[in-house]
Amino acid sequence: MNEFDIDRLMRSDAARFEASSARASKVVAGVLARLPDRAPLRPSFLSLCLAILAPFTRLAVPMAAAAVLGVIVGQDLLAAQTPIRFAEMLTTASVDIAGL
Amino acid sequence: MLEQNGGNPTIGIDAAGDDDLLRAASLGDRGAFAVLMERHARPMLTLATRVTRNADEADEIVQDAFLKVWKMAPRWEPDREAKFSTWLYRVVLNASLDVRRRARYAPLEEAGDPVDTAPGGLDLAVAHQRDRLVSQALDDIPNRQRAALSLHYYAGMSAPQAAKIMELTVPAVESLLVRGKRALRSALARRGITGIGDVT
Repeated sequence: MNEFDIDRLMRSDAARFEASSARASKVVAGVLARLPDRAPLRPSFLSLCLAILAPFTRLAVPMAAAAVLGVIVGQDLLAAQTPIRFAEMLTTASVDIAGL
Repeated sequence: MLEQNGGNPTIGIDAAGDDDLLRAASLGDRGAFAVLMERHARPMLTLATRVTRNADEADEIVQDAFLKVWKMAPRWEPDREAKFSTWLYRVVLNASLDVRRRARYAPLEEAGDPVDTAPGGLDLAVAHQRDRLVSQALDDIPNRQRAALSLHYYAGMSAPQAAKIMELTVPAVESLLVRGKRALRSALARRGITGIGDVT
């Protein structure tokens, strides 16, 4: 028996077991009769937390970026302004004390 | 319900894709689920019947597979690589092979819907004899080879299609088909079938 014979044998064997449309419809009807009602989905704890945090998570990146930017700019301002403020204070104080 | 739920209103429910039907089914749309089943029931029944050789078992396998679909519909991810039909074929094939492994041989009188509705007595006897021999020979070959041969001959699939269902590479499935045919030939030879004339 060569490969061609095997093909022929298997195809003729398969042809005997073709399911009819009527049988398919019967199976579909059977499944529909057995279908359980769709229960409302109960969200898991994790998905509930994510749902609650979703608006915040959307804003988290811009807020973090703004905070970092604020710290950097604030430090620069502090470094630049502090000697000036001290100088001003010292000048003012010395004028007040000396009465000049 | 399908058309009101975000689908293209110009496309009827029958033209909707499997993923759309599954989405509608996940919301409890039985009509959409019925369309999905009608689309796939016949090829699934044919495959299950050919593998199990038992119409009742095949009906049960396909019904169980569809009930599984109904349950998992809310969790179906349409973007994932596997198509719905691929997944369904996998479920039905594995269940059918399991039943076949348990039963080894089911009475052929119960097997379903022959194409030739009025064969002569001798033809019928020859066909039954052939069925039994092929079925027994298939039982003798390794599982994966049997699965590949089942998809190829009983579902009419090419090697690439079978590869997706078996989650193997195409060369691996081609190799299984070659070895499976060789093993089947040996198994038939052990039963005295050395030529096609012995069973036709």
